[in-house]
Amino acid sequence: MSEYDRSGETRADQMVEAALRSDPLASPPPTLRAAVMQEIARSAPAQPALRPAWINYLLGSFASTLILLVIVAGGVLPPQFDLYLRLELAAWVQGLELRALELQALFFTLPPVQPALLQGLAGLALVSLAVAAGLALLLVQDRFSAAQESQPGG
Amino acid sequence: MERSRMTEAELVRRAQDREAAAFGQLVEAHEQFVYNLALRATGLPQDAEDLAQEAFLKAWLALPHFRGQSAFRTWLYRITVNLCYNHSPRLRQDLQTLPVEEIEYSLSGPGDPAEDYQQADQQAFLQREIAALPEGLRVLITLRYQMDLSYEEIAEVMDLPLGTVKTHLHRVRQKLKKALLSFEEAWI
Repeated sequence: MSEYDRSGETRADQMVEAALRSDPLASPPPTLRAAVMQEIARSAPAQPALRPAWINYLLGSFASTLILLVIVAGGVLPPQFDLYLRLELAAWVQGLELRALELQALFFTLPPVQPALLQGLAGLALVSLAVAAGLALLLVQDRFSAAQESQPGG
Repeated sequence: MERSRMTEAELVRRAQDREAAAFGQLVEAHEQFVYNLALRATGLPQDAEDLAQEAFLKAWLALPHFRGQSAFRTWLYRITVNLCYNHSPRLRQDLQTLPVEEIEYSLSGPGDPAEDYQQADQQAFLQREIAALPEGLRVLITLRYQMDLSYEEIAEVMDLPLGTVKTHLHRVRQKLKKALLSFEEAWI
């Protein structure tokens, strides 16, 4: 390739580069921005989107566990404990001045109650473990779905 | 706070907090590029306006999930390009599936010699050639030369392999140069 050809090629490269850079951009319609803002105002949700965070899951699970424990306890606790609860309730309703210590003394002297308490505590520990595992799973899923949603378009 | 003193990152953060005015400023800053991307992809002003509007609306809705892992403009342009792909599936096919050698760069050649000579303007010739390129290539040119995106950013926006982007742009330059030299030779 001669010097003349090389300089011609370089000049052509420069002209192509300049033409590509100066390819004119059209002006956007003057109404575009206003139309977008109008659509945004229209699309504003009447209610905020429900996006629970991990703390919501935690509190919800805690409340659910308490309710579950009450139901389970109602089924597995011996009749003596039911009697104890009824006495407590009666004492509270009627305003009798029964001291808690006295009631507890009565409660713990009943033989079948202590094994039932141990069973209840063991059950509570198992349920807590299950809740913790569930929470971890929900947290991972929440982060995974948030990461997917953050991918634009599509 | 004055707009001029507010960075784009600050505007994005405010828009993520659902501040419509901040998003309005982002729209103002990017509307020309978004509109031109859509215009290059569709070739129709009305479609381009609709796509640009949809892109901004989609960006507004998706903004709370924007984590800033890429630049805001890259993210916004990718939304726009995805909408363009949905609107014109051929656009993606042309860029992705066809080997670059098979893409027809319909360069028009010198055309009417007298008219071209009167214009005496190689730049005008080149502008006509660029305007005659397929839509997908025009989108690539816009991203590279008007919006100054890097090859990597273009690949991300267009969802194309980096090598494909580089090859397309290189071949466009080569074709334009060849056409220009032929045009000039015709008048020597």
